[in-house]
Amino acid sequence: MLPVITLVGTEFAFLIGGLVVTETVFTLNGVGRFVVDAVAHRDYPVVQALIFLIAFGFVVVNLLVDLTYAWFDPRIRYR
Amino acid sequence: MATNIELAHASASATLAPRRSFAEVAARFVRTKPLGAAGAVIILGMLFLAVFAQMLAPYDPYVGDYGLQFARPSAEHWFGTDEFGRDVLSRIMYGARIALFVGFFASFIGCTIGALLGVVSAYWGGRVDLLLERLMDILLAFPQLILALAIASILGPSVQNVVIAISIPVIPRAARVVRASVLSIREFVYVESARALGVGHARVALRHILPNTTAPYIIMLTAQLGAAILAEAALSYLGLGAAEPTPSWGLMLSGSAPSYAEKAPWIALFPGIAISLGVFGFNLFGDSLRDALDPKLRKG
Repeated sequence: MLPVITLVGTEFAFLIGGLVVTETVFTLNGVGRFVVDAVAHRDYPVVQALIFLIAFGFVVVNLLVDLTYAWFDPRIRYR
Repeated sequence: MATNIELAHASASATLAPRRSFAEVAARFVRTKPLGAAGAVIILGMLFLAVFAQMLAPYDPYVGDYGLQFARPSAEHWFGTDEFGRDVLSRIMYGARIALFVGFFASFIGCTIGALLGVVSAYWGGRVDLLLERLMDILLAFPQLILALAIASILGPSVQNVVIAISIPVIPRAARVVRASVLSIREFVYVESARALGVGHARVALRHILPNTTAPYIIMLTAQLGAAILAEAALSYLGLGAAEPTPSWGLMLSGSAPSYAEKAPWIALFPGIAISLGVFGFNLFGDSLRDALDPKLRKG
């Protein structure tokens, strides 16, 4: 079970990366296409903010992944 | 007493594997890892196309024939022609150059810098380790493709900038892997004996520790090669990679190719197959190489 949960964190990052391409291909209005458009227009503040937001989301997901270890395996304790 | 000596001798000779020639190692690899060999064949085929593109390509990849736009795949144009009448097969052959150039240099630069940082941070430890590892943590907080996108947007679109943009996200990953193995190598007795003989820190790190990280280094390199080719295609597709006339696989998929997908599917289909095949080859080869190089996973 634990390796599967670990994968959730890494897959999340990979899928956000994939989002950039998928949203461009299917012309969906999402964060991914927003980043690409901002990059294309050299709109650096928007690029900065979005990259920060994505990294923040990624870190939060990985924190949740770390915390759920203890929930799935009671032997794990965080001191 | 005599039996003891014999036993010691037997175990010593058992641990020393005989040196094999390259041909023997290659034959063994083909026999035990047929899938890995298939990957190697794909890679070698790509390499062959890239090196001899000038001789093999039937047409000029840059010059279009306006009388032959959207030509179907035929005996003259095996993979058809695109919206400018350029031969798709020739462009794929030249595209192999870009893919291999970017893939190889991005993963080589990324893994090498990462490996050196990993050795430094694990060998010196303490504050150096703490500082470098937190820096790597910061870089790891960004998804790989997003960070490459951000760097490419700052540097601007060109092939060299794509190499830099793809190699930077590789650095922290390589550093982590190498650091982990150096942490265990550092505690080996031969490192202690080298120190006791008065060998300097720099020499111990470069001559005694660095060569022992080649197995994880090569595994990282081949694993990242496929990922780098994919990242190059993604960046080119988004218009941040090579600029238009350059025959890059990702670029061939983008632009007007999607709008002609029903009229002329071969424009996008064949570069797509080339990307998948290339990445597939590197992944197969990398996986088998990891099994072959990692003694813990080695069978028999």
